[in-house]
Amino acid sequence: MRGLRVLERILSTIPIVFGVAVIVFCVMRFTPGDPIDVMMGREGHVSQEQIDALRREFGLDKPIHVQLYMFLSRAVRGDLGNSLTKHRPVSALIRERLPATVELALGALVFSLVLAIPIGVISAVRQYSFVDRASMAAAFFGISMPAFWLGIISIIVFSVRLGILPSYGRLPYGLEPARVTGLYVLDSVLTGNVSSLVAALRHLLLPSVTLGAPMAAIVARVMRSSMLEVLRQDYVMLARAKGLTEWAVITRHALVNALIPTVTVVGVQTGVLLGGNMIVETIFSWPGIGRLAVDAIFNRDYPLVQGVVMVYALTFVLANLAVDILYTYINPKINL
Amino acid sequence: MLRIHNLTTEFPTRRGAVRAVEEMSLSLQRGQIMGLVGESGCGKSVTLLSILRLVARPGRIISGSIHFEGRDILSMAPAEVRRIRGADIAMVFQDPLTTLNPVFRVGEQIRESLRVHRIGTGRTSRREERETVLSLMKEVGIPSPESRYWQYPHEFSGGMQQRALIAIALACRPKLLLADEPTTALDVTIQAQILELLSRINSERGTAILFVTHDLAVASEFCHWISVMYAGRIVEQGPVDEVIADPLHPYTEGLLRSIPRLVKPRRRLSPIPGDVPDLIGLTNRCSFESRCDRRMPECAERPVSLVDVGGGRHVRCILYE
Amino acid sequence: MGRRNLFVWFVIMLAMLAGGIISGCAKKAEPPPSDQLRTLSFTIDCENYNKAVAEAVAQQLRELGVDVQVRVWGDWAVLKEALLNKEREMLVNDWGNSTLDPYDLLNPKFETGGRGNYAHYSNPRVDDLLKRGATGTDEAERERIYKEVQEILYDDAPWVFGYAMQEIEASRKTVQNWVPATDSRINLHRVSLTEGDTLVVGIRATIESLDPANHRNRIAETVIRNMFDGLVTRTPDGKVVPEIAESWEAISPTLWEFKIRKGITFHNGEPLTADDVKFTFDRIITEGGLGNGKSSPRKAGLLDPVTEVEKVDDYTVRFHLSAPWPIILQMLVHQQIVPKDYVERVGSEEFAKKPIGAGPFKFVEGKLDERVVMERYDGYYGGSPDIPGAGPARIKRAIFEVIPETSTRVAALQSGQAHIIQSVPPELVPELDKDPNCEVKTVEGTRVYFLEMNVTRPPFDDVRVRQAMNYAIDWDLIIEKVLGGYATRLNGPLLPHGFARHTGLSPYPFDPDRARQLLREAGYRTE
Ligand SMILES: Nc1ncnc2c1ncn2[C@@H]1O[C@H](COP(=O)(O)OP(=O)(O)O)[C@@H](O)[C@H]1O
Ligand SMILES: [Mg+2]
Repeated sequence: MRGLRVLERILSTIPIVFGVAVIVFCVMRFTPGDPIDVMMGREGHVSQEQIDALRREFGLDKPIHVQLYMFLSRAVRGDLGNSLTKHRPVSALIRERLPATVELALGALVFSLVLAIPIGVISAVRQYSFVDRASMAAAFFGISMPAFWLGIISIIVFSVRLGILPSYGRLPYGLEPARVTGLYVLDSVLTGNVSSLVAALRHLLLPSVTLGAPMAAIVARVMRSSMLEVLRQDYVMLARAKGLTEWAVITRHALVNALIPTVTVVGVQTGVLLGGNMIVETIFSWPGIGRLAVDAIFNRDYPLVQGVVMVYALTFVLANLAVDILYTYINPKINL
Repeated sequence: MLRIHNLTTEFPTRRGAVRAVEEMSLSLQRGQIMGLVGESGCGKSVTLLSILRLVARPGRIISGSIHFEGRDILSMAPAEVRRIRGADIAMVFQDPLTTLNPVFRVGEQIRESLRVHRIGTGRTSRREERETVLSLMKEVGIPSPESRYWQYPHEFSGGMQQRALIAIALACRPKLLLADEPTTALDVTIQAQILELLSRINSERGTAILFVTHDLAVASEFCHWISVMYAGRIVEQGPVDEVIADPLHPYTEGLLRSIPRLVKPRRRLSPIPGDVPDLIGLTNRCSFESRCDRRMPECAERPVSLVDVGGGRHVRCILYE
Repeated sequence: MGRRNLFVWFVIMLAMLAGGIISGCAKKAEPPPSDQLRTLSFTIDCENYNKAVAEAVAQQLRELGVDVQVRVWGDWAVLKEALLNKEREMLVNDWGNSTLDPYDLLNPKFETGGRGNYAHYSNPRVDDLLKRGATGTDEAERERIYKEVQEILYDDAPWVFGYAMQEIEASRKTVQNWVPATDSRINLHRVSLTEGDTLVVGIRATIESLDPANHRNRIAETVIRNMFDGLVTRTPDGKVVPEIAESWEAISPTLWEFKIRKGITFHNGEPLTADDVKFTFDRIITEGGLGNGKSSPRKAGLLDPVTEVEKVDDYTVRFHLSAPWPIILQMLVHQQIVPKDYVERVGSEEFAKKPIGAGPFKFVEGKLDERVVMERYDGYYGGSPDIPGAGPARIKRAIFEVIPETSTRVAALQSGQAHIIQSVPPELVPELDKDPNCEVKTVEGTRVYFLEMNVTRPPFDDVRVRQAMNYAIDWDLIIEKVLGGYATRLNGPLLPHGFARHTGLSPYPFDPDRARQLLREAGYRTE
């Protein structure tokens, strides 16, 4: 039953993803700037005939509605076209870089949840204590700090000054584990490659923290306020009256309830995580789709931008779907 | 078995300390049902929470003692208090909907009460525990407990929720049940069923009950003894029939006048004029003075204490000193 | 109409002319009274990387009473559209001129309708001179032509002539025998390490392709150039010297002959001959030359005049040109020779994945937006004998890592993850100077910076305003304070070390009084 509903929800996301693709298609076409022009560089003196020939080659000479039709009819068959600048299929480019992005996003997610949930809980339980005030100040900082700044500062501190963490990339040359999933941490575990695992984790740390910081800050604040709310509830009093220890009261009775609003926020924040990854991937030379997107946008590489945006849209929709499903597990009042 | 002596509980607020309970003294015998009556906000719930030391911060118990079976709860270590909670003294709260945890199945919430106090004392299997829960559910009158066990609180009606709460309270066969307005949130017919259930538990199990209500009519039918509270203090105490038949304190009198069923024919139904006074900065003078129709100049001038007027009856009024 | 009538007309015309001249003189001699002066106000456009300079310029102009806004554009393509529509006023811009020849700078920037002519400057005399400069082959004649162009431009002032940036790059102290090149390529052939045998270079952008015929990008060329050699190459200071070609001769202005060095082998061991050279260029100049209907992007603007490459014998080729092409040697530096047999066998796509060249390093593995790894090719013929230190590469392995963020690149160098990094911004130089393990190295760059003024609309349609702008800006101060001193002042549009630069012109001096006077004459209020 639940499986059927989930399937239904997944299918209903397809029009959304296509809608987004169409919008992006139009936005890109109406943005000034021409891919061929960008491709030929700012300074090359190229004749109009040469430009026209290239436009023909890439099908850019056709009317927009024809281009849109071609794009959509190919896309439904799973063909996202070829990148104009990288001369390769968009889907292959995305497939190659997706694991890096997924690994970074998971790293950021794990970092922010592992840090933020305990902090939110402790802050609520010890409201107005030093711990509470300090962590809420840090959270305020975390929300208002631009990822760019945090990234650079952490590189300067941890890799230049202290020299304990690498400043860029996923792994040094020669340490890549055998490919299973493309996620280096996971692959190193699966293949039992300890030196790769250590190196992959060290490379993952700073980008994850940078990407996860705003999310951690928001989650900590939401967690704190929902925990405060929950701690006032009668069922928490009942749990205490049952003779449970405070630890059990908080972790068993209060936490699950306080997680309900938090899960929603995490779902929404997944979008922010995706948006942030362009900046973080650029700072840390992380070869994921965020950097692919940045390059593609500035090169007016239409097919590539469309492909990446579709991936973003899909991820966003799926993240929200995952949250909705998770929701039905922790909140029995809600059905899918 | 329970003796509260001079209990004072305070909530610091920005405007000053609120004395929610002040110099409260009360004692309860095994198997007895004591009614704690008063307008809302007079400190009844805080009294109950104080007994289990559950008063939420920043509230705290300033002074007094609470002896349960000879030992002072207020001077126990936290772990000892926890051992009493739910096992010897259990509590039934006012609003069953908000008191059951919405994310857990009802049966499991009842089973949890069993679990808490079984730690270290013999391992009972999950199956055995479930059996116990099912019989508890049957005992408190939840029909078809096997399927009800797996339902969530929101799938229960108000009456059923309150029964589930009572089952939670009864799980460890407590000697004392603290019932905080257990029927206020329910409609009248359900209210009667719950009261019946409680009095059956009292008679079958010999469980003493400290029964809080703002409804003197309910108290008069259900309790053996009655304590009337006003603004954090006991103003009158005694066997229920005598207090109803012959109220000594002007406040008790006023309360009785305001209850239709108890008003004697030909007497007019009349609410007590005025409001409950601010609990901040109260002195130990009579706090009912401003609303009292038998007030004397002396009332505002000197403290009054709870006077034993014989026959187990106590009253706090200058008229009886 | 009788004679008298004609005479009357003549007198009237003369009077009008005289009146015009007199009133013109009056206007010149005496600026309009101050209550008729307007405030000069306009917007300076720039992209983010030029923002600091734009702000400094604006600050200086404000002190003269000019109302200046700075607008920073996030996206060049959008800005360019506005520029082509002649909507903008002043632009902080720059232009690369790696051939060091005016042909590559003056023609696109100042010819009427030139591709990069965002000043929309148009002058028939200049157009004529530039055309002759582009087709002439006599060096002295070309030099004379370009000098005249520089004189005209100096007075017409369609630009505020700015500065040439020096290339700032940096290396670890363990890196030996490396100097940055004026065309910003990083050639590791002669570089050695005092510690270890793997050298890591931090480059600033994604590598477009590893096929020498399928990119349009200096970064790609930097990487490719370590695996491939060209017919000719350039010394770090910009001189063209033989590489795969051992000598050449211009048989006529449109026919050039190259002799190919014997004994060169590709990384797969096959010898390099005239067939490979011809194949390399045919692949680029032929429509669809890359296979699958794809044409090479390296023809337009880079090889246009080449109509045919002819094999004379196994070690001689001839280039047939459609017109005289003075910069052929400079342009051939940017094309690298590929192995005919291999490319034909595997196809362009596979070739880009596993490139094989005749350069000092051979390809090991590559992910274009992550890293390219290469190892020393032991069969290397040694490279250009005109650059000291010919022979096989000295390091065993070279890795080019893509690190787009400047601060991260600097951090990678400081933390020892990289040995050489490209493009250090001046503001990070002091940081590196403090680091005992790092060394900052500079070289005259090939990029000029200037303020381009739209001469088709007010206020810059008035040459006095344009000249005033040239006098109004204290470039030495900007170079000192904003650019960390890593720039050289320009006396016109051309690079200080470029061909045909006019040494007789001295840069516009910083002269605010002269600027004020010119502005007042043009009818603007000053302070
Ligand atoms: N958490 C609290 N903070 C401040 N004051 C409180 C708190 N809980 C109770 N009080 C005060 O104690 C008084 C008694 O409350 P309570 O015992 O709940 O009344 P009731 O008799 O209706 O159960 C209230 O008037 C209120 O002002
Ligand atoms: Mg209450």
